[in-house]
Amino acid sequence: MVDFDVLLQSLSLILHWKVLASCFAGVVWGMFVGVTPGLTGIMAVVIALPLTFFMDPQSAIALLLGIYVTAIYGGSVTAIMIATPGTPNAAATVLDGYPLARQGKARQALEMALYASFTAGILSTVVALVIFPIVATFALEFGAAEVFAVIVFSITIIAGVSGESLLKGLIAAAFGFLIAMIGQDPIHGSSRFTFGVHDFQAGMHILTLLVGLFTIPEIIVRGVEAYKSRDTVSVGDMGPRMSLRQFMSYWPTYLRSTAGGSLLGALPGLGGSPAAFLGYFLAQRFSKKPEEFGHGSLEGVAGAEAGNNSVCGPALVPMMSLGIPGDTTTAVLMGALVIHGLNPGPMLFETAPDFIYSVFLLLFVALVFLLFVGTGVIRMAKWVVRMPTQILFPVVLILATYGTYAVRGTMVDVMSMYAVGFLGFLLRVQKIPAAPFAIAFILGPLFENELRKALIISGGSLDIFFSSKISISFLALAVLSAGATVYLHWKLKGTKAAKIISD
Amino acid sequence: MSHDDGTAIQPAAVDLETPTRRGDVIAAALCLIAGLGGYFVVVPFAVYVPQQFAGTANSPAFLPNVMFILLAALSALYLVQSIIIYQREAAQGRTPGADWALAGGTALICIGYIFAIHMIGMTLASALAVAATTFYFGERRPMLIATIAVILPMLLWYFFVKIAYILFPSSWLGIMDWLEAALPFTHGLV
Repeated sequence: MVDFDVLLQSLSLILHWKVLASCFAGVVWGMFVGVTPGLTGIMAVVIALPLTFFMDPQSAIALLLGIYVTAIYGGSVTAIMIATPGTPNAAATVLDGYPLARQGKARQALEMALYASFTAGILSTVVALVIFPIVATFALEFGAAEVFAVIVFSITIIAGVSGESLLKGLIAAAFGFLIAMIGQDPIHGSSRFTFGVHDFQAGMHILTLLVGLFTIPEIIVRGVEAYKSRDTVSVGDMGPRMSLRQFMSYWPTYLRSTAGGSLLGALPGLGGSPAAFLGYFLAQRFSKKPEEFGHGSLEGVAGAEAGNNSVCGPALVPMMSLGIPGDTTTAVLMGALVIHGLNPGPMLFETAPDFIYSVFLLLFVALVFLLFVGTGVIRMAKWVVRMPTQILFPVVLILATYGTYAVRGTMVDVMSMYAVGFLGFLLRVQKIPAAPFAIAFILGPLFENELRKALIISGGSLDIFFSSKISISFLALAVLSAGATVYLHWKLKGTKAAKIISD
Repeated sequence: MSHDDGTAIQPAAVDLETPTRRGDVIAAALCLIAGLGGYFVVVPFAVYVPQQFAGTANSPAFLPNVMFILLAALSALYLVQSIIIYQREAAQGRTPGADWALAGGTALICIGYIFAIHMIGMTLASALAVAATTFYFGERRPMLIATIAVILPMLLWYFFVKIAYILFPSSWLGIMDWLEAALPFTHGLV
């Protein structure tokens, strides 16, 4: 449990102008990077890392945590305004955020993203702080079979976001899985689908796929619309503000998505994107209006944003308590701690407990700064909605190209982005949904990696997946979830058919 | 198909984003070809399998094969479903050819943009691409188009090259190299 004496001591460590200024600078930089397609949170942290060499440990970690927390939220701004996820974490936010912006409710979507991110960030940090030792021990129980079971459970999201046709959703997911397999095989390193192109060895970058899948089809469709109308077409109005009542009505969604995201956050190697989709899925599953998802649901934005931001606090737990980074960004954070003479691992709690608490307190500070900076960004977003389509989408096209190129500095990524974009356009025309495609692409490599690792450990026996309570529970949940979703599809379909007949 | 009085049913024009029954049949057939082609042609050709893992679940080709079979099976179902609906429903929606042509125009600009990056470099190609797309989408004010075409690529160049230190791809024709040599102020434009 929390040691309040140490907590008070650590409070004195962070209440210094240098530490707070560093945290604020990190939040501003993280926001800038988040809203710029192509620049990811990890790049922002890496660029800022050399600056921390000249700082004290508290200021250094404050700067990096500010970036870490804000870059996750920042990606949602472009996802909502121009259907371009600024970071991979915002992929699920596009699904409902952009339709809301098209309906003239951009302000509500942006505010929901901000407040859901803040709420989930605070809740998950409290969880991480209070159950720090328990979570650390629990995370240790997860081997390849357990992580595989969690991923199988997450994959059932695909059925939930398949829209009107489960069949089309599954076809899209198969394409997503296959494209995720381009590059080196995760276990043996054999080339797969590279066709001798060296740049394909590392596989397709997640941002390349997301920008191609969501942005290019939107540009093509809006281009046709703009050409045909010939008038100055505006994307829409910022619309009304979100009321306190609206915000409060989604409390169960914040709690559920935070719980799901926190669990994935505490497990090494999963990161924010799967957490966002899990949060979205949980929001849809328990929603009173699941049919609104994908067409502009505030609850969908709340679920996705609560899911991805709830990763922040729990992801630091295995890093600080066990020395196992949850994702690449926390790996860089861990490197920064080592540079400053603090070695993450079980001994850190013995040698510098006040520092551990100060890290969690800094997360709270960063989230409060995020609220202020995010509010400012929402005010600036009105410039985007007032821009005519004829100008906005050509600008987006150029930004998407630069953003994709900047990720790895190769034109192969740009060409792949356009190829996925044209495929995405054809899929969109036939209402084959993009969300299962993206989810399968994100979860596919994790699925394959953990499956094959588990099979190597067990010598090829499937018994390993039924040897622990954790994996059995998650596999059972996956079966229940898939069954319930298929049943829901069938039920909704019946209703629709009945409506058509009665019409 | 025809009405009772013998006149042919004209397919109703639908929006580009409204799936048509005919489109469903074509899409399903293409997905089926992709699934079968992937399993029988692409995996044997483009996945290297070490001898000791051939035919096991740990083979690099195992999951790609499973996915291609799954894709083929699902596509076959989709095809059967689409054909049944296509034959059953009298009025088939059809997207106007003009919409496809307009969408194809944007795609052509994108492809031209990629070639232009290779030929004249990122900054100049982007200036041309943004001008072409803006004009194509219906903007007709030349000063506005020119302003965006100049300012946007310059700002992006400054941010990516000067601040983020990201090197842009070099071009085949070396136009910017020549410009850099001739005019000092263009240094680093590509």
